[in-house]
Amino acid sequence: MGLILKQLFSFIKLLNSDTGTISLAMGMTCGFILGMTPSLSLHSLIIFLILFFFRIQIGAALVMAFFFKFVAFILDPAFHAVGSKMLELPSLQGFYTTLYNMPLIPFTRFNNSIVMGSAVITFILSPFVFIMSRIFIVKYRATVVARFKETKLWKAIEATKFYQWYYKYDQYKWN
Amino acid sequence: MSENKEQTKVNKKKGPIRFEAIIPVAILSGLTFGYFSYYFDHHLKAGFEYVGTLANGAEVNVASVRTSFIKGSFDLNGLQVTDAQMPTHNTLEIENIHFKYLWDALLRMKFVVEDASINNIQISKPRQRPGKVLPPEPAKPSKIDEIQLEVISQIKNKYGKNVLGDVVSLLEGGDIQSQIETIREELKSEARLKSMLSDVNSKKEFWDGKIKTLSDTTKIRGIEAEIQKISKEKNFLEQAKGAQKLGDLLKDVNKQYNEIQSASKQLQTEVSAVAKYPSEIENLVKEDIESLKDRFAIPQIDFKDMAMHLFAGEFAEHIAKARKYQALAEQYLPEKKDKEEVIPPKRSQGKSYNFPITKGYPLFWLKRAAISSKGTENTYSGNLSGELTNVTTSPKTIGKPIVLDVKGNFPGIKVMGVEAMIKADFTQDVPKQTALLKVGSFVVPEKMFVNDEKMKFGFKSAIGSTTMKAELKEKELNMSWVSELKSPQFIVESKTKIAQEMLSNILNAIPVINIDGTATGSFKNLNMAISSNLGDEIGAGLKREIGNKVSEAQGKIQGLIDEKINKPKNELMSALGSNQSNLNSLNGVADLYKKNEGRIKTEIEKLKKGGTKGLEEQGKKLLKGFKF
Repeated sequence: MGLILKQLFSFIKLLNSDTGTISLAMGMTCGFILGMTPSLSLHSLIIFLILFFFRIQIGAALVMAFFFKFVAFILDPAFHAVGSKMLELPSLQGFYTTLYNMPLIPFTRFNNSIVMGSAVITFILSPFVFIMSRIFIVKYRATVVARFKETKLWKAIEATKFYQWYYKYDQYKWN
Repeated sequence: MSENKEQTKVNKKKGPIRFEAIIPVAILSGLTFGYFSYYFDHHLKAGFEYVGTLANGAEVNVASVRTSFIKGSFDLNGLQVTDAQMPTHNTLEIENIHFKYLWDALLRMKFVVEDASINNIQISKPRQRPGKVLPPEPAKPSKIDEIQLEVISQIKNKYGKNVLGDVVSLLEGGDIQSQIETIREELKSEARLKSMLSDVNSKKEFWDGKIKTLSDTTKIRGIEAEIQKISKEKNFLEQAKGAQKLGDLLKDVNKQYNEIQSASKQLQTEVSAVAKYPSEIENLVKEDIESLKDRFAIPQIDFKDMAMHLFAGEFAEHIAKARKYQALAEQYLPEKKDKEEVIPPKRSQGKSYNFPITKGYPLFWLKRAAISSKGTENTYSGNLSGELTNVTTSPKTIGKPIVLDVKGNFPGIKVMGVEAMIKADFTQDVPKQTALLKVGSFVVPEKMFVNDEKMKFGFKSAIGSTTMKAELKEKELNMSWVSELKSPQFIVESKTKIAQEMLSNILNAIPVINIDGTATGSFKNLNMAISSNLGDEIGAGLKREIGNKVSEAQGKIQGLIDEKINKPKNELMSALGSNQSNLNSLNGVADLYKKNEGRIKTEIEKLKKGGTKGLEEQGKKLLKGFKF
């Protein structure tokens, strides 16, 4: 729980900072995929490797994954229905049989209705999630953050010694 | 502001790839590769030795372990498992174990051993130096022990009775004698006899007195004297008075006669009642004999079961061992069904679809393992060769049963012609396990069937051969075996000479012992049947001797009855005889009175007519008739 809270605060901080919107949006998208699809499958591992090797906001990904885990429970029946439809498609039986007998691929657990359904839905929705996340971040920074910084309260806080000390400390810590 | 600009510049330099993470991972991967290349085998060897020692309770040594990730191979050399009971020897020694995994399967996270070999297995071979033995752990009952005990206890409860011990006890005869002593005072017949005797004696006493009274001769003498006196009388008047007196005497005689008659009838009734006593006693004696037989518990030994009693315990231990290994194997062998492919999701279960397997493998599959062993002198190892095939976690996937096929000889321990064919078929819905074991010849070690204070009986040595078939289907065991023991030497020691001689004679006449048996049913309720000519021969001999002993026991019972009953019975019969004699005597007196009644009447008539001389003569005759 402590880790999640830490990531949540970091995420809010990143939203409020000047960090690149693409990195944040990619992180949110990866978190969406991780949260929606059942863990312990090969594609989850691939997402983690992508997060690790590419400059994507890990904090954003973990926070979003935690959030979408709860949503996923509610959507499991829908994933099951979609996954079953996909796996039962007669035209794809040969393809599935090939995949089922290939090395490594069975580790994705694609033959499970919920894994298949959630993967299909999340992969289809992931570009939209990415775009929407990016728009959301830009809008958030332009409206909420900018307006908040213009308030008298924030200016008063900025003027305090404590804030200045914290600002310097924060810059030192992150650099 | 200037600081912010510098920061922006720094951020802009960073590309999409996180190099600061990749470099440490690369270093870590290099270290891992180095570890697995140079150190992993040593650590694996140490791990095997440590875990093996803990599991075995005594030192386990491994000469070397070589693994190759690229070749997918595993080699273990020089495995030595110290015998915890005899640390100078190894329980098991294997020169080499080789496994080669299939890479194609490993990529599917499956372990398929295409080729394996276990070479030069040796048992009980001396070690170069004694192995360390761990201090024993406090004993705690294990599930395996319980499983074995379940099989052994039900068979031993059924057939564990020491039949030969009982037989020897009976042959000694001690039990009967001691029981006779304890129940001497409890015979019904004896008690009744005593009461009868008392009754008869009291009656005898009464009748003795009565008859004495009735047979009193004083009155008759008085009559005699009176008749003589009357007959000598010359005076006619006096004669007339005498005749009248004789009339009075006649009335007395009649009265006496009637009294005797009445007493005689009463005595007759009592004698008739008492005369039934002997037959009543006979019946009571019979009852007592039956009761005593029950009390002595003369054993009803079923000699048909002699072989069962002799061999059941021995075979129960073998079945229990088989049950142990079957139970151990059961943990690993049964089909794990289709769920083995599915890792249960933490969320909803979903539905896993199974597609046809065109090139798939079960989680573990040992396709073939060659087994070979060369015997050495003074060890239990032998020249063994065979193979173990298709050991897998998913027999249905491969559709083949697990088969262990081994043949060989163990010259060191004189066990020759060993053949084992064990199949465990889990490919069908109902699993089936079969075993065929043959041993061409083996030396039967010393084995005691009965070993107690009264008797020692068992094999000293024999040359045996055996064939055993077993099938386990749906937890129902169907097992049969045929064994032959040639040139048997027996140990027979008994304190009872007759048992010693009898068993020795029976056993010396048996050149070959056949032991055939079956065991059917579940392990919780096994029905065992063992037949053997040894049991039959011993049974027949013992039956004959026991029959004699039973007769002897019955004789002793009869003796007890005779001893307790005959004397009082004779007394009773004697008392009854004297009662009868009394009756006869009484009847004699009554007859005498009756007989002489007429004569007295005649004399009276003569006197009335005046014939004194004739009267005198008649009187004399009368007296003679009374024998006075």
